[in-house]
Amino acid sequence: MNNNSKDIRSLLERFYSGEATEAEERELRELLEQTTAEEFETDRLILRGLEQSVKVPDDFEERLSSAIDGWDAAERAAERRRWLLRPVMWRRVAGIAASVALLVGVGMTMSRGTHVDQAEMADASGNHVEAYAATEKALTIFARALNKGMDGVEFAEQVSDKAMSTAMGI
Amino acid sequence: MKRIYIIAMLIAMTAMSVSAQAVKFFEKYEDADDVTSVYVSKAILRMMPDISTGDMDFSGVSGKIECIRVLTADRAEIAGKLRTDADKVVKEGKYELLVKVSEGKEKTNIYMKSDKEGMNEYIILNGSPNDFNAILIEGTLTPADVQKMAKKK
Repeated sequence: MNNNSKDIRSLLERFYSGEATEAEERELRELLEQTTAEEFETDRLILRGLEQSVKVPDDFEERLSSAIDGWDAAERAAERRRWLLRPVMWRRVAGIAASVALLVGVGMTMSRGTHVDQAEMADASGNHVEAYAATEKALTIFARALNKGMDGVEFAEQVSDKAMSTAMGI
Repeated sequence: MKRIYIIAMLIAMTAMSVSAQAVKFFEKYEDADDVTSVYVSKAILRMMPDISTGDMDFSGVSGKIECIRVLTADRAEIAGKLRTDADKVVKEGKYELLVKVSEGKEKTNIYMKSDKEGMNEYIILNGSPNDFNAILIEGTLTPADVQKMAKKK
C-alpha cells in the first residue's frame, strides 16, 4: 500500500506536469481505483472526469481547418476595408477629384467664356452707338468749357499786356 | 519702421477711398429713376473710330482715356439732388478747380485730380436749373489734349 501511494504520487507528479505517457496514465488510473486513501480522492475524481470528456469527432480536423480558412478570409477582408478607409487614401482620392473638377471647370469656363464674349459682342454692337454718342457729348462739353476758360485767360493776358504797354507809353 | 509702414498704408487707403468715392457717386445713380447713366469702358473706346465732327476732332484721344462715366438728369428735382451730391464729392475728394464757365443759365465747372503715375481724373459738372450732367473721365488725357480737340478744324 505504501509503495502504491509512492507510485501514485510519482505518477501524479508526472501526470500534472504533462510528462506522463499513455501507459503511465493508465497505470495511474488503475492505482487510484484500487486505493482507498482519502488523500487521492480528488485526483481520482479529476481523472474520472477527464476520462468522460467528449469524444473528438472524426471530421474535427476538417472542420477546424475550414473554420481557420474562414477566419483568415474575414481578416483579409477587414484589412482591405481598413486600407480603403485610410485618411491618406481618401486625401489622395480627394486631391485627384479636385484636380479633375478644376480641369473640367476651367474647360467649361473657357468654352462658356467664348459664348459669353460672343453674346456680349452682339449686344455691344448695338450699344456702341450709344457709347460713342455719350463719349462725344462728354468730350464736347469738356473741350468747350475748357477752351472757353482758356480763351478767358488769353483775353486777360491781352488786356494785361495792353495795360502794361499803355502804362509804359506814358 | 513698422510705424512708417502703417502710416504709408493709411495714406494709400485714404487716397484710394477718395477716388472710390467719386465712382461710388456715379454707381449710386446708375439705376435711379429719371437719371440716364452711361459707362464707356476702355475696350469700347479703343474700338471708337477717330471721329471728327463739326468743330471737334477726337482723333488720337480715345487711346488716352481709361473710362468715361456720365450721369444726366432732365428733371429739376433730380438734377438738384445730383448737383448737391456731386459738389460734395468734389469737395471731399479735394479735386482742383480747373475752369468755371457761366453762359447765361448754363454753368460748367471742371475739376481735376492727378496721381503720381500720370493718371488724371476729371469731373465735369454742367447744367442749368432744369437739367444736370456729371461726367467723370479717367486717363492720361491732359488739358492740352482736350484743348486740341476743339482747336483743330
